[in-house]
This record gives sequence, C-alpha cells and structure tokens, in this order.
Amino acid sequence: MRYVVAVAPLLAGVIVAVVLGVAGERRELLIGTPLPLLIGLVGALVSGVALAVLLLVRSGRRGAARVAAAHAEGVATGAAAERDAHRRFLARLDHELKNPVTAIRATIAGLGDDDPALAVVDDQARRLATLVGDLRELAELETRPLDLEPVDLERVVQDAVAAVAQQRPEAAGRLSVTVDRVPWPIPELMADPDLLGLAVENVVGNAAKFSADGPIEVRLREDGGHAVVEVADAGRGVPLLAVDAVFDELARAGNARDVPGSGIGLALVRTILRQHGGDVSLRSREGAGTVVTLRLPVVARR
Amino acid sequence: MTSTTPDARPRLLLVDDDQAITAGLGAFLGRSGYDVVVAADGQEALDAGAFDIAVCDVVMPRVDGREFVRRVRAQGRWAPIILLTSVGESYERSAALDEGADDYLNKPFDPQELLSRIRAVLRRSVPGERPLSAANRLRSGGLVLDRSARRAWLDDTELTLTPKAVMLLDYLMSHPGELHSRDRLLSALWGFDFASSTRAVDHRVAELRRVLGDDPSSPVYIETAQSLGYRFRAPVVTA
Repeated sequence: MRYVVAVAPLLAGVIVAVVLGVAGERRELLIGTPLPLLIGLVGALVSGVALAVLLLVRSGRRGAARVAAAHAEGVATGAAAERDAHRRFLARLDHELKNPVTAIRATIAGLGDDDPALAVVDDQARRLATLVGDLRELAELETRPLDLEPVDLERVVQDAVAAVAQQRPEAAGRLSVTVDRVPWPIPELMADPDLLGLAVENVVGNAAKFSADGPIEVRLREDGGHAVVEVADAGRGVPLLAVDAVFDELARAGNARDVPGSGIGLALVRTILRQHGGDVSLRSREGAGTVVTLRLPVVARR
Repeated sequence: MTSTTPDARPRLLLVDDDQAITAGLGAFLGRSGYDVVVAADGQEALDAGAFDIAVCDVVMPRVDGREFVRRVRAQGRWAPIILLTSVGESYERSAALDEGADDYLNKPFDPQELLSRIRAVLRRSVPGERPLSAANRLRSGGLVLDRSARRAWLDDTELTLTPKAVMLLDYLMSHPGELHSRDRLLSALWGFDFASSTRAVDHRVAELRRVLGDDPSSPVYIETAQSLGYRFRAPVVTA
C-alpha cells in the first residue's frame, strides 16, 4: 500500500505529460537560477538521497533485530512452558504412583511372610518410588524459593570433599582441595548451603566414581564476580557425543553403565546452580579425564 | 475420649479411600497388636466414634484428612492422629496447614516406619490431654519455643537461629524422647531426600547445639544416637 502511495505522484505526472504531449502542448518553462544556488541545491539533493538510503538500511536492521528478539522471546516462553508442563506431569506421575507403591508395600507387610522373593518385590517397589520421587523433587527445586543465608563456600567444599572421602575410602587419598586466597579470598555468598553442599558433593562423588586412579583436584577461586569451583579427575571421561546430554534427567553416558547411579545427579547440580543464578559446565576427553566447573555469582551482602 | 481399657488392644482408626492400601495396612497393623477399624473417608471416620489413634490419608473425597483433624480437635478430642501426606510437603508447611496432627508420613512409606511412629505417638500421648503438637508454646527447662512466632529463648535470652534450625527445634521439641533418623528428618523437614544429603541435618543440629551451648558428649537437649539419628532427650511441657 505504501508503495502505491509512493509511486502515485510519478504515475500522475506521466499520465498528465502523455495527455499534454498528445494534445500538442509546445510551451516551455525557463527558470533562471544562479549557478552557486544550483550547486548548493544539487549537493543537498545528493545528501538527501544518501540519508534516505541510510535511514532505510537502519530501519531494516532494526526490523531484523526486532524479529530476532521476538523469536528469542518466543523460544524462551516455549521452553518455560515446556518445563512447566514437564513439572506438572512429574507431579501427577509421582502422585499417581504413590498409592500403588504404598499398597504394594503395605500388602507385603500384611502378609507377614519373610519369603526372599517378597523382599525383592518390596525393594523394587521402593526403588521405583524413589526414582519418581527424585524426579519430582528435582522439578520442584526449579520453582521453589531458596532458603538463603550467608555461606562460606570454602567450608561447603571442604565438607563435601570430606563426605566423599568418608563414603569412598579408596578415593580419599586422591582428593585434594586448593583455594586461591591471593590477591583476595572468595567473599561470603548468599546461598542455600544445604543445596550447594549437595551439588558439590555430587560432582566430587562423580569424579571419585568414574576415576579408578589418578588425582582428583578440587580448585576454588574467584573470577570476575563469580566464585568458581572446578572438580577435575583423570578418569574415563565422557564420550564426545554424550557431553551435551549428561545434564539431562536420567541421561547416562554409554561408558557409565557399569557404575551404579540414578542419572539424577548432574541434572540436580545444574538445577541447583541455575537457581542460584550460576551455571555448570563440563569439559572432558574420553580416556583422559573430566573437569566440571561450577560458577556462582558473588553478590554483595545487603 | 478414649476407648482403651487396661488390657484391651488400642483401637486404631485407619482412614484411606484406597482399598488396596487399607486392606494391606489393616492386616499388618492388626497383626501388630491393634484393633483396626477402617474408614473410607473423613466423614466415615467422624462417624466411626472414639479411637485411641487415627492414621489418616490427606487427599480423600468428602471430608479430607485436614478437615478431619480440624473437626476432631474442634470437639476437644485429643487422641493422636498421624497424617499420610502424598504431596511432598515440608514439615513447616504441613504444620502450618493443620494444627493438631501429631505426626506426618510421606507416601509411600515403609510400613515398619508407620508402626514405630504409631508406637512413639501412643507412648507420648496422655489420654484426654492436648498433645505437644497442638500447643503454641513449648518449654524444656530454660528453653522456651514460641511455635507460631518461630522464636526461641534460653533462660530469657532470645536465641539467634536460622529458620531451618528453628523448624528442626520445633520438630524435635514437639516429638521428645523419640529417635528420628536423619533420612526421616530430612524428608519431613526439608521436603527433599536425595541420597547423601543428610549432612544438612547434621549441620543444623550442630547449629542448635552451638546456640544452646549443648555439649554433644553429654547433651542436655539433643542427643546423637549412634549413627542412627537424633533424639530430644529433655522433658518438654506446654508453656
């Protein structure tokens, strides 16, 4: 429509010119213009055309940026809606599985029979319930407000390392913690210490689980407003194709099937870090080792 | 309001709309020494008359578990009630939703765990008396806890505690003399129970002990039971 309006004067001019030409119009219009003014006018005209072109290009770019922003927003909204639906689904699944599992366990207890086969049924029912319960708790963590309090990250890390050393005595001698204190130490964080401890312990526990020997280094430092915890091992590593998926729920790399685990751990770590405004990443080379990096924003205490 | 005669089996009211659960649990609790009466919802439970203890599901048609507790307590009946919650709720939220339930157990639970809860609650309860879990203020020696204000005092000096530590103190003081496993405390109070997260409980107990000046090797208040869990050992009364 805008183009029609823009072209209309030209069309009107052409039509009038043709009509006048056919009618034998012979009159001429002569305008006397001083040369300096003419040159000035030509200059202004050329600049005008150049400016018009520039404005056109700029508005085109803005339009593209608007489209890109709208697209990104749409994708983010879609992803949030998908997570939301996923969360609700897990809550329903968990709810619907609870009664049958309770009934199975109650019935076995009611039999008062110590048949080992029944113990297996009971155990598997419990395992099923734990898995679904963990998935639901994980989904709930995404929306649940954190219980923030001042946290000494070094203490949380030392504590998690000590816990792993206790659970896996064979790895205790391979664990080491280094903390950068110069030029400045890591300031106190506002965080949920219980969840943060859980995240660090999971990552250190994985390092111990997936490396039969070699050192496990836990490194703590401050970097550009972030507290950074690195956990590095010289273990079996994660296959290249599995690296992107390891943070997904129930995802287990192909070379991890011989090691017991729920497939919840790293998804839990990622949820906890993101809830704190941070994130987690993983670099690995199969057969060489893995380093997992946790980053947490350091926010000045109010 | 109790039906117990000295040598009778305690009358246990089991309330759940899922027959598969009441059948199995009823048999188990019957074998464990209780006179089990089953009701399919809160209304049936209210019509079932006096009981020594009720084990009651929360989500039910007609009168649900929470409404059942409210109505029973409104009649001034203080027989203990254990609620079977099915949504993962932390103790803080459960306790705020229903003043007057004596304990909570998340479904699915270990039937043995239910049995030990039932025994503990019955041991603690004095027939006809308002239970600690329905009281607003609790006292143990010089320690006073205002449950609704979430504040605590030791010898008239107010204590500075994190919200989680107050929640833990609340739970321990309203269930004194009972052994609570770390797993159980974690799932009941924190609302999550991922494997290996029970150190969170140890940390809060350490915080409470530090603030209360309680020596772990000869505790006045919170006692560690040999890797099993924790117990509030001092007597608690309604203040």
